[in-house]
Amino acid sequence: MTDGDLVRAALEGDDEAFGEIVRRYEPAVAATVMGMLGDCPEAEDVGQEVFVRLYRSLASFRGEASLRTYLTRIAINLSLNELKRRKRRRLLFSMKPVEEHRNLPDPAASDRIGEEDLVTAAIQKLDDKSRAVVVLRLIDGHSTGETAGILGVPVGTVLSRLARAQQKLRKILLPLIGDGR
Amino acid sequence: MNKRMMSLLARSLDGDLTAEERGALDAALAGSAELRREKERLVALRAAVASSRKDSFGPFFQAKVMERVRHDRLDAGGETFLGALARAFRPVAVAGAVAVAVLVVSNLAKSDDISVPAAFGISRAASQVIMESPVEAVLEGLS
Repeated sequence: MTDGDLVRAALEGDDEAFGEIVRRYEPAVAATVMGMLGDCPEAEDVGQEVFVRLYRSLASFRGEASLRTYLTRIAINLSLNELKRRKRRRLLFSMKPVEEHRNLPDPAASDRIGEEDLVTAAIQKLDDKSRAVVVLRLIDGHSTGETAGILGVPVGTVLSRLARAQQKLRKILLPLIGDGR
Repeated sequence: MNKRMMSLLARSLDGDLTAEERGALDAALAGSAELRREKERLVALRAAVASSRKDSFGPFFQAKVMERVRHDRLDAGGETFLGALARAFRPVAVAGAVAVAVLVVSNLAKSDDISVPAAFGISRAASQVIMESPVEAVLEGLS
């Protein structure tokens, strides 16, 4: 069944069709949300909320964007909201920012599994806007044009944020990616 | 290292170079081992970031979403507990109001007095006793 068929069936009350949409797009939504928030308990809540929001807006989904792009937009917006909530909570409870209390694993000592943790932790050190660009472009694999469309910014902005983010990641992950010599 | 070439190198990985820029970058890459190393580092960095992708929220995610969707549909279909209670008791409330109205009309029909106490079947004498008794006396009677 195509996405359009599934959306139409779900609108007619077919729960199995909506379940199929969830099954089909969980990987894409997980990549976006967990890329933005890291592997944390809130990530799954946000992921569920993405699909609940989709369900509520099925009637107004006209298929102008692909379902994947539509879901990614919801996922990015909800993830950015969650990051704002985190910041408010930190301010309220005078907690230290993530950068200060989350120790990065030692890049030199990382094995294959540790490598992923290290990269994830490094992405979490980026500011929210740069992180969104890195997640959409480098993890989700959207083109720069699609990334710009999802974030509602010009392509040039995407490219400059990407360049800045890569510079920061390069510094953190240098021991992992090698010095090229 | 040439700053412009570094910028072109970063952009080249996103397929965003003009033919002229591509030519300039290729020439610079051919002539600079350091720039070639930088390209290797960038490619490795992007591969490492891409490989950190997580594809699942964990077990039973689909079932959890469907459960939330069903709850959401119930809420939107919108019967809250208080709403259901009000709907269940509506016939009782209407019957009660009708009974009170019948009682009031019946009492007023039997009485030669048109007043609130008469409507509720209280005689004029009884209501006078109630209205004219001093409050202190009533309170003393209670204590």
